[in-house]
Amino acid sequence: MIRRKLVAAALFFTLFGAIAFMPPFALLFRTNTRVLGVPLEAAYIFVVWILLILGARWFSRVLPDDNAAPADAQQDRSS
Amino acid sequence: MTLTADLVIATSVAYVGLLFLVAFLADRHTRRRAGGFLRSPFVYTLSISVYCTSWTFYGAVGSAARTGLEFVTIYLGPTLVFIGWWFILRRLVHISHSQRITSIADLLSSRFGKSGVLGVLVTLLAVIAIAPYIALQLKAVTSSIEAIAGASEFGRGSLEGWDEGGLAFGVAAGMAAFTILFGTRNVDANEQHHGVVAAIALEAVVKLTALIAVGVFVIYAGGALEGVFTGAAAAGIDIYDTDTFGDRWIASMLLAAAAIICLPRQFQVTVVENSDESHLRTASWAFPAYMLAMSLFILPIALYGLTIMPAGSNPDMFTLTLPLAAGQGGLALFAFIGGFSSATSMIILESIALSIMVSNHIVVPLMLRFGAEGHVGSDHGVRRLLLRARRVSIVLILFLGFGYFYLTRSSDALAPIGLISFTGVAQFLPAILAALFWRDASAKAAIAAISTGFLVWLWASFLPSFATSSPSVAAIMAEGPHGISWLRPQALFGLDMLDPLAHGVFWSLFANTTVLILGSLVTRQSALEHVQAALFIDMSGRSPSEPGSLHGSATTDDLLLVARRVLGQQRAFDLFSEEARQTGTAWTSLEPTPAFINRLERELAGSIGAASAHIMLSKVVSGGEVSLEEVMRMADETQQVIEHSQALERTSAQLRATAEKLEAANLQLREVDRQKDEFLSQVSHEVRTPMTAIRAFSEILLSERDLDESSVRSFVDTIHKESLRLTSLLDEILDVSALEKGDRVWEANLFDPERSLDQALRVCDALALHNGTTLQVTQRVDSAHVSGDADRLSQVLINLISNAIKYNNAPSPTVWIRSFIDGPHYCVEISDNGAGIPEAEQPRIFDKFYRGQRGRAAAYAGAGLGLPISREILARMRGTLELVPGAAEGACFCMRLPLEMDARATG
Repeated sequence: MIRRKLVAAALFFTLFGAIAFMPPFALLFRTNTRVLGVPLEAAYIFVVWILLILGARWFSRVLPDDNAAPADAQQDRSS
Repeated sequence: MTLTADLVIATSVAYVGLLFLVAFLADRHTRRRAGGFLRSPFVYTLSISVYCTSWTFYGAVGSAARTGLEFVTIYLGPTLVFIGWWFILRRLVHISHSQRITSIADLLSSRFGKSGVLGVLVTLLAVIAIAPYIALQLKAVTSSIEAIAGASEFGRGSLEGWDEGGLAFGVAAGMAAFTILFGTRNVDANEQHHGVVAAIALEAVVKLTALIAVGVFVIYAGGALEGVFTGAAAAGIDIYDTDTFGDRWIASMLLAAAAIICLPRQFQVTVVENSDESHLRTASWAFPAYMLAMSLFILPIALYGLTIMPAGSNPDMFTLTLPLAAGQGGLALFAFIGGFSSATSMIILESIALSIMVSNHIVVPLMLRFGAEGHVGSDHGVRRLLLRARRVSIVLILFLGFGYFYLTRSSDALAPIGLISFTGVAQFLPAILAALFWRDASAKAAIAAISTGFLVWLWASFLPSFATSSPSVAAIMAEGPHGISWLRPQALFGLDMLDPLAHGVFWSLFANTTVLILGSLVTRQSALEHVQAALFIDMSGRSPSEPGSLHGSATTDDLLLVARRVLGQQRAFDLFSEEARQTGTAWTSLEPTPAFINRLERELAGSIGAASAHIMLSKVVSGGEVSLEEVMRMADETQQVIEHSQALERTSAQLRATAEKLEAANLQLREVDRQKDEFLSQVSHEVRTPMTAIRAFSEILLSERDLDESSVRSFVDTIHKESLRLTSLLDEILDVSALEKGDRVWEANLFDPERSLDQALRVCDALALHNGTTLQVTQRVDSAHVSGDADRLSQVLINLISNAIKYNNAPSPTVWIRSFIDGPHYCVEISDNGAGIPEAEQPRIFDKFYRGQRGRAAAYAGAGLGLPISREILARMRGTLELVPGAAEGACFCMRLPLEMDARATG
């Protein structure tokens, strides 16, 4: 159960990353404001990027080992 | 430090020499030890960063200067793919390892039934699509040399007389020679180019540090981050001018995500050169981190360049020209080497990857078709041919790139050229995703889809790039071919409100995907496609059985011949020896099993691609294709469903059996419960009878004052007797329950059972006399030894003998007693000439409180516990008590006790 939830979490993490980088979501930060001189939208993109990398680092440690993965194959078959 | 063109060229040559040294040492290192540091996940990650080419190093800055933040999409797309590595890359690497895939063409050809046509198509299209990308690198290197030469007060040095085209030609020729020396030393792509990968990893470090060095310089010179941005804003440069999050943003992010999977060189480093699937885990965050580090300073460099460089200077070269303008010669040289690194690593890997595809999917099939037996005949024929083919294709690929560069040299920006290539290779993405996830995708549909997507790409993306150098192309773009306006390349079907890039991406991928889906729905898969699809989709790799794709008769000699030609003497020999060792047969009597042929095919595929290996082996192995029944057995979904349901059936049968057992146990429990209730009611009944008598008599004694002495005495006597009976009844109940629970400590002494029998006979003599029964002892044992409790045994014997006396109603009652040794047992048999026990009662006589008809009728009725107690006592002494058919008509009980062997031997 934990394994399936982790894999689902990894999928949604990736999808939400994609959504965060794309309009219309990214348009929220396209305001004429600057953070330490840097336009907000640029700062936003880089911050999300860093968060994604940290998240990926966490997932790379907790995602299950592949060799013991028969459940996954069954899921794939049913899909 | 003064930079001249000559110094720059000399440095480049020296740098290439260094790369060579690194590659050579790495090769030697891996050959001696099994990898070590070179196979660490970080070297793997660094090699993946070959994705960051001179497009990143120079072009991203130019792109940032022209369109602001958009350049990051090229790195955000791959970031998302790597963060989601679990879903696509992991499967890709796993499948490619198990199927020994050598390239992206091999992957698609293998999945779609080892289709040769698909392999050729993908190879050709990849070569065409990559040409602009190679041109981009040539352009970047040429421009960077030009930038330094132009800035140098010593003029062009030895470059005098070389124009841009000549310089690019020189660079291309140099790169071709370099790549041939580097990458075509061995044939088997699966042997992996450790040397090349090590050199690429070094280049990754060099380009990153160079770019960061320039970035730090810019931040320092521009007055911190804030200074750079506010300076640019003050100079009137506004990044809000461009439409950042528009259709181009989405299109280029999608393209970059597709490219990280589909680019031949990325497939090569990420999938083919991967030596351990777990390295992907590290790369999943480390590669995005690398790209982040590469992108961090792009925007400041671009803005600072725009602010301080004179108007009209090429923004693509800011990375180089900013240090040059500041007189930082050393930094500029470092930046040049960084850019040179990013270009060379891309060119080397891309042309190696493409040359493997060309030789495996075009040259070898041609050789096989036209039966170039002359080449194949000699031992090294195939290997030599392959190497030669790869070298020729490297030259061809580089000069295609040069050709593109030459034709489009008047367009100045780098990034748009790269995006044209990305759109081209993205046409493989739908087929790859279908290969990994859709079982029913068919080869015909994949071929049609990729062709369609590619035609649209040629028309909508590739052709327009020649507009600046060709008036006829410009005319087509303005008015459409022959004036058909809805066919204008950048406004197909009148769709002209999109950015040209997004327009090309949309139409090509839309047509591609639609054809793939509809085509797969209406076409049928061949048997081999079916098998391969099953292998790719069930990535756990445990297909019902190894799908021996080739079956039939082939001699080991034939196979060895083929193997030797492709793999070389040594590896073929190793392979066959290992097979001989595994099967435990001698070399000479080695039988080519289907499994072995299959394995050989995969080994060959590692050298020449799946389709070619298949053709090559089918020539030797007669009997050809897989039989249809086998295909059905191995891979058919129906079969899997059936197996699945059989498994379910087995499970439910097990559940049923368990339920039945539970029911039986429940039944037993209820029976025991019932017996307990019965026992209780019997005990109450047994106790009640004497109690009633005692109460009645005592009441009489209490109420009748004038009873005579003899009556009183007789009443008291009865009360006394009844209480005795009650006591003995309770004793017996206690006894039987103690025996059954087994919690009374038993003394296990050695004793002579004959003495117990003597005692029993003495006790019963009086009773026999009283009843007029004759006791006849017919046979006695002298002495015996059993283990247990002598008094208890007497109790049993007394019970048996007294029963035989009490219930004997024959005219002249007789009881026979005999003891004897029967094998390892001491036995006592007690029989009588009474009426015997009716057959119906026999099974129940050992039940508690059971008294037969005669028992109930008899004058002196017991509680019905004698026999159960006796049997229990004997059981505790490991003996038995049974009712046996006797000689006379009456009942005959036989008890047995095991003899103590040791005691008998010693005493």
